[in-house]
Amino acid sequence: MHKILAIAWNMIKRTIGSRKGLLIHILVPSIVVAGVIFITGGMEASNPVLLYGNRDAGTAGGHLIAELERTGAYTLKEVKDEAELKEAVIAQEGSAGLWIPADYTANILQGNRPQVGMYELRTSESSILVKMKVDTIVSEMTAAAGLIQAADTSGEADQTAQFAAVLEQAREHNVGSIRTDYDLYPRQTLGVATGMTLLFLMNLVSSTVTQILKDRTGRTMMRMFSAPVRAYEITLGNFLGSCMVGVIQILVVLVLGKWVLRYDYEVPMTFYFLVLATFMLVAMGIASTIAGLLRNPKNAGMINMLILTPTCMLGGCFWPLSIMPEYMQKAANFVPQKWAIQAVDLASTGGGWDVLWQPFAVLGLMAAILLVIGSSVMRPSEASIGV
Amino acid sequence: MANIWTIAANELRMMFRSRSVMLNTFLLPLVLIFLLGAALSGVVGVKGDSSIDPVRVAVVYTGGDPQEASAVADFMKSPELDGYIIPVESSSRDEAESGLRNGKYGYAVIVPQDFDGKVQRGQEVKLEYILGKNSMDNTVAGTVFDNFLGAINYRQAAVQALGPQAAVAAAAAAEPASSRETAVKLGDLNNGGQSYTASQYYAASMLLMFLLYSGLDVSGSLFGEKDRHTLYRLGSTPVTGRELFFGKILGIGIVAALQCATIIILSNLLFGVYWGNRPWLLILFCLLMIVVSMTFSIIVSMFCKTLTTANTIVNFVTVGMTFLSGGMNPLPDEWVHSVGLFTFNHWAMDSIIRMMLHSGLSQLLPNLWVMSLIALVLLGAAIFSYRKVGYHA
Repeated sequence: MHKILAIAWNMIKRTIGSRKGLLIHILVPSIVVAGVIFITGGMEASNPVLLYGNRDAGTAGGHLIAELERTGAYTLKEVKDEAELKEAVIAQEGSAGLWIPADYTANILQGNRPQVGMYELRTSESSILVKMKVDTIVSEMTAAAGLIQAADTSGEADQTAQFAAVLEQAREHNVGSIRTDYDLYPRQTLGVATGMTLLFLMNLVSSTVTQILKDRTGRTMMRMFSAPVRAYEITLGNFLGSCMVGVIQILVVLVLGKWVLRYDYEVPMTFYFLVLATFMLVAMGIASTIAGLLRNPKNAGMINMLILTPTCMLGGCFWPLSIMPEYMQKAANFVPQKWAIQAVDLASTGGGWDVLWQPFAVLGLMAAILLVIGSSVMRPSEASIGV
Repeated sequence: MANIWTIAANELRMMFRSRSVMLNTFLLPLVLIFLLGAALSGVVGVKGDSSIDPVRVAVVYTGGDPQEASAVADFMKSPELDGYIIPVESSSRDEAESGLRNGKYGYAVIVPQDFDGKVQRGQEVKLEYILGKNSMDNTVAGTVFDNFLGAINYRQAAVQALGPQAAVAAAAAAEPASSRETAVKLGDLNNGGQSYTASQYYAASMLLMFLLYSGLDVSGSLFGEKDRHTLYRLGSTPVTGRELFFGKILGIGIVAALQCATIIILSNLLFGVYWGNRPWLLILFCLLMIVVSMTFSIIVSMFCKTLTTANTIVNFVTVGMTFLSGGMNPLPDEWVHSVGLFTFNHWAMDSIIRMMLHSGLSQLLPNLWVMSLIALVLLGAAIFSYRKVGYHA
């Protein structure tokens, strides 16, 4: 047993024993991760900016904007003309731009369903929600216009005034809703913050696997195998050492995020730690499997990238899974990130172990399989320095 | 000079022989562009998505009698709700709340006393929603009930503003056949040329990310020679250190340029990504980005002792800058204009998008100057650090 510990301790010392190792492997990445969490967490507080231009001669355009403002979900910013609106959207001054044409009210009063122009540089959750909201408000306005036409057939000017009066009355929101929010659901940004942490965590884990790989290319592993230690002791020792380094990395990230940047993880820190630690085992399995299949350590990092970024996208690290098409959501089941995020999601909504066992079982299984493959293919005999 | 080419050619040969480099350089970016395009293509709304599970909604009639709120009760029975909402009558607010907490219900609606009467008298009346555990369910149920209340609100407003004859008309008009036609037309940001899609945005951001990543090849190649102890051997050949160094950088630069061309051409052919109307300027920006990425990596490699350290730094800078320039997921709008300005990606990204949108040359030139300036400064720093540190065994 103490042989395993000696190898593990050696592994830790080599990776983070020096001041520089500490800086490169612990401090810098942790600060980056904590910073990313901080930024994504801060997104919650800031409303997306919605640019608009209103050329409408009547009241409908103004009503639409007022109703959007009332939702409290957007910061509205007016621009002068359509060209300027486009330019502002391209310069990313807002998430989306709305353009209300000049004859908008008149068109509605004629019983049409005129369209508002919308500009966006990229699809995002907030732009999708804006679209839905506008759709609703316009439906209500066209319904009101229909009512006015059905009610009487007085002159056009009269109708315009009536329409304005109806809209003004509607803005009072006599019939409406109050939302009572007990914060039962996971915060939107929690998934992305977790996802970003996973992305960087996978990146970090590969660095310890590189150390093992270096032993192999440097022929050190061969020497170790000639020492009076068993193969499984070497494997376990290396594995334990990498685990410890990973655990330290996770701890530093969590401490920075929780107590320095004061990010609210919504779940007990021990649980969050458990999720990340389980995920780290999977990541380590992936990294060692790749490392075992490759001959050149230089390429290990690259291939890791090849696996890392697409799986993170598929697993919902960058955006909520629910906005993806269905077949992509199914494909996400094969990706460990999805299960880690799901575990955090379930726990933050108060789910107990009766539902939590599933993501953990999947993660554990993935880790076990990958680690077994990884350790079996990491043989010292294949220590050639290929290209 | 011939030596430089020999070394560059050798560098190229080594890279093209390595399968992982090939996969990473040419396949990965295309996979990512495809994933981004596919994942974000579906405009997800509440309607039309067949995969939505219906939400169990607890309905509490505070007055006790559903007949007091016949509008709500009728709505709960209407076929419109099929597939979205399963209304379940709940005895009390407390029961609904505990049901929400243990997952029995996904959402709860509390109907106040005398709902119908208040609506008819034009008084203020509010339904109370209690949000459940699932964000998507909350959005679905909230939207459905808000639409319902919105219709009542407008009808009440019409009656109040127009007088009782509107009530008659409202009763007659009952349910206006709401057309499913969208009220929002996605405008074309373009100033002529092909229409712009959101996937183009991510294609540009991925291209730039990978050009920055090609810096990893620089550090890999520079340190690889040292780690394999082949730099000693090269020292015994009639090649000067400078020739060796520039040969390597040249070789990697060529690979990066090839990668860039592959991404642009293949993404155009396979996914129909349109890259704009100024191919020469696009090439210029890409070359500037390659220069920036190479020189940055050289500086890092000069001052780092091991490959791992250098790679970690290049890696984090690449991912960090792509993230901060908004290339991965949307950032708060003000970030793009504050922190984003300090990334290499921002300037190139902004110009590539403007080229895709056929913006005028005058809008592109400032970006070009900034990129050139960054490239020049980094080039100077790279030359300086090479002189100071050098590339020896």
